[in-house]
Amino acid sequence: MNRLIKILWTLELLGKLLVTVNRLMEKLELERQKRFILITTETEYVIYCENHRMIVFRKRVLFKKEPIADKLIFLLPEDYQGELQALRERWMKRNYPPREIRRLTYKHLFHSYWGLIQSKFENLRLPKHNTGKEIE
Amino acid sequence: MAETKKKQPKLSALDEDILTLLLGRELYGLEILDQLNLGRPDELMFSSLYPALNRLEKKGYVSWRWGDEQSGGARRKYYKVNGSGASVLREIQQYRAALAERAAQGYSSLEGVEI
Repeated sequence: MNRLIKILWTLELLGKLLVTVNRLMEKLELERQKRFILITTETEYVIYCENHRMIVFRKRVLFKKEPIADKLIFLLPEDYQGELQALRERWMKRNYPPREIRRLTYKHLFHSYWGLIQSKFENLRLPKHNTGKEIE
Repeated sequence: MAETKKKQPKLSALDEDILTLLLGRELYGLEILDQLNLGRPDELMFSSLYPALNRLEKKGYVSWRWGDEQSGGARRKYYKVNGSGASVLREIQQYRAALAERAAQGYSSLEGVEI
């Protein structure tokens, strides 16, 4: 019974997630793009899309720590996606099994995400103490 | 008249490694990472590389262009060192060489130096 509830709960969550993703795709005009990654903490999932096929990762698998903010949605920049593509091609050439490729993709996504967050923080212009002027 | 001190450019060890690697050639992220990780005791990950490249770009030490990848769809950024990046790297390397020379000479070289 517990297992059934768990499955139903997961299906409901996935349904909600797909609706959210479709709305986002419309909003960000992503329908025409073949490959993109949406990272969101709102839905607790990481979504990697390739040729209109969606691969959904459980966020908890990927991120051990608590999310740093709610409703945070990132579209991974194109160059990051290009790097991931290059890596996946390399893994395929080396005949890695699909399961291993998926595991390495998780890992890479995590590092890309973390790199992106750090870059965003480094680019923040913080006000100087008591002066209100921005630090260069 | 007080001597005006020249401002030392701020570069982390990783920034310096990247500039050294990119001197005279163009590489994309994965290639940079592969080269940096050759014989490196602690493996460098993309999570460190991306912010470093971003930092160097903001400082104006590297520039980039989009690659023309046909098959994959998503393009990569190809980075190279520009003029100011090369001169900063040269300054740092000269400073390190002078430091190593002073260290090799030992404390005797400090005689007569006001501390």
